[in-house]
Amino acid sequence: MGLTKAAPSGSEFYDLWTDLFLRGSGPVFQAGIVRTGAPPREDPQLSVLALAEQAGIQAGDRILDAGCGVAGPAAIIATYYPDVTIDGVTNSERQSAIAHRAIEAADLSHRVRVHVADYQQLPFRSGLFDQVLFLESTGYASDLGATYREAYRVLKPGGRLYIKDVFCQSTPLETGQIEQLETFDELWGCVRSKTMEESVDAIVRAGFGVTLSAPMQDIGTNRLVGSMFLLDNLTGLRPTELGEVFVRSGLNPPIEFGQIRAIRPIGA
Amino acid sequence: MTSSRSKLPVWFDRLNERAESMEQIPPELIGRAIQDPDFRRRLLADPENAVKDSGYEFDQDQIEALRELDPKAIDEAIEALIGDLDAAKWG
Repeated sequence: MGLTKAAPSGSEFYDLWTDLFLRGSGPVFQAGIVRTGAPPREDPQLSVLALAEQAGIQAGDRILDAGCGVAGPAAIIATYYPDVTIDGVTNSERQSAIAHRAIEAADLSHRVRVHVADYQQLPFRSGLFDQVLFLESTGYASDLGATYREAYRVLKPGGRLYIKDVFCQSTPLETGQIEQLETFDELWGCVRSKTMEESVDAIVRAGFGVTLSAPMQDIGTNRLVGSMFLLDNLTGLRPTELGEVFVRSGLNPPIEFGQIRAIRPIGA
Repeated sequence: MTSSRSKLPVWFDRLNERAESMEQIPPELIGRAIQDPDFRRRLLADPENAVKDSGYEFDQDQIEALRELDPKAIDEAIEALIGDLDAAKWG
């Protein structure tokens, strides 16, 4: 549909659209929500906790959330996991400002901090964290090698890396698929959606041991799609404020959700 | 304001009420109705059970609002706004 052009990639994208995302779909800025419970539902809070479990987060961990948005996931993890402390990194001043207010209001300032920084050049000393998370944020990386080298550097030996993301399919793409992917990346402000294979390769090159890389099945986008529309008894369906900007008719990029788990070897 | 509103036909106020009930429908169900044609048909034909089986609880106004939706209008709107249902992906 495209009534309004989204924005160029980088921090400008989230400076521009963070308030809209917040109003439209809440503080967890993720397209894929893990289905939990019976009957299975897309609950963002439970989804974040399911991802935390997949990542292997433990009580007392020092965690880095690389591409933390408005710290919605960080706040959820800090609330449910005793004694964890989380540093979130975003390149958006607007996200950081909103996150600071939300964290203060939730009385989590002593356990969740948000920094405006580039996760490819982290403002932390080496060997500080037990866990590094990338939750739908690697599409914003301009240098995948630098991204994972930095994650490796700031992790303690034995520390864990967890990535949940929208990955580009790795099979050779036809021209139409490439165009669809470019439209998708531009729409959501990504530098470029990465394949799982190139991600695993960059992770291994950074020194990690990869323990899992797999597509995710129990994950849905109903919540995101539904946040872009309202049912209407006159017109059938009409776009919300979020839909006015982000709905594109016929968009079908070659993408899938996947997760990667890796460990910085002890003694490395 | 009150006097001008009272001159409006009853159906107009009713549409407003229905619109308000509709805005309370969780995005997850709207998204599923858009992306899953079988669920959409069930939601419109038997909203009470479709909603319940999805793990949600609706009040009677919301159920009635769903009953009044026109399946054909929704199908056409999806086609016009999103395009090929099997192909469309989050945008």
